[in-house]
Amino acid sequence: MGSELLKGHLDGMILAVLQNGPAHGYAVIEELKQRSGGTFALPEGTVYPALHRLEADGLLASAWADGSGRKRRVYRLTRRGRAKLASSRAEWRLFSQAVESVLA
Amino acid sequence: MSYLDDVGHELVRLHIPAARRRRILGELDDHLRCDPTAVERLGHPALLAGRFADELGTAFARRAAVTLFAALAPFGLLFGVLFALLGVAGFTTSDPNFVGPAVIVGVQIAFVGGSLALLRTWRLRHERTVTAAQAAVVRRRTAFGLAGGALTLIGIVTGASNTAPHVAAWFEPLAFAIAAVGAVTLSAAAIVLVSAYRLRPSLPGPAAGDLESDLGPFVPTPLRGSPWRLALAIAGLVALCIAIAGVVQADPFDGVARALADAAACLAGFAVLGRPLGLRS
Repeated sequence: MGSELLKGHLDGMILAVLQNGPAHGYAVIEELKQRSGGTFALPEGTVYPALHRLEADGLLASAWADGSGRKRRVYRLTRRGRAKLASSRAEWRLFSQAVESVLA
Repeated sequence: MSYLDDVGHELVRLHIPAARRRRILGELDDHLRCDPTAVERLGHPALLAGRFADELGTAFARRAAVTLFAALAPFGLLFGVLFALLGVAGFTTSDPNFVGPAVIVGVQIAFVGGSLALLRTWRLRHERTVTAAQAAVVRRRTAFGLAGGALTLIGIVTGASNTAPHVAAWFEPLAFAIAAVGAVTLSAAAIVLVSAYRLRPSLPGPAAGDLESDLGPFVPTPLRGSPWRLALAIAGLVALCIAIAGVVQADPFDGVARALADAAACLAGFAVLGRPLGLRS
């Protein structure tokens, strides 16, 4: 899938991955790949800047945590992040249904 | 030199703050330990660092505008209370005027700058990243509003000092306390603005647009396509409001004089600051 097309939905997908619980950047990327069955092979360099921006916008919070013998930055959804995820989902459903009905 | 060293140098070049740099490098180091083959997918160091600057620069510019508005709102409210208490404090028309030129000009600059910064931020709220030109407009509008807030603060302190011998003893400490609140909130806004100036997005793009693009559908059709026509209409509306206020206060001549002065100031501001503040292209 085109990376430009993906970028438009990257925020929502990151928020959706973190809905299941806190995760560090590498785990977020792996989960994105796994959930999409390998379709979303995002350039990994786009995910970390997006995580930082989402945190700066108050949609995520993060903290260092010890794991696997080293410190890792773990991200979690904030209340605003959950609200944003809900609105992203609603927008996507509306959009995809409209596209589906045109293309079908 | 390792990949992480190269990324570190690029982050320094783009003025990413030291704490943020350490964090980014820590996360990338963890990523590369999980998957040592990921270097290529992380991208060229300059490109990766540029993405951080673009995304964080966008977020910081937005935050600066919102923080300024959040700082000005309580300060403005408290100033309104102080203004309302002038009569209770015993001010008479023969006393030195508490509301001097610094307050009159400062309040208007703060209101206009803060509102314009928030307006552009609202318009760009769905953009993941904004261009360098857009971010520059948001920062300049925020700086303009902040300067107005600072001028108001100076005016309050000066006015309270000048009028202290003529009014109730509690008025000066109250004015100073309100100025102190303003100093704290405006300082917080200034810190955020400095961060936004340090970390700027570098995305190229078209011109940053004008006031018409900010107001969108609220601009009546006859005023579209000509920034000066829109500016004249706004100046006229401001003048009308001030003139009506003069009539309500039973001082129509003073009201008309102030209305003309404000309309002229409005147009002069548009001529001088229109381009840097993204009001006309």
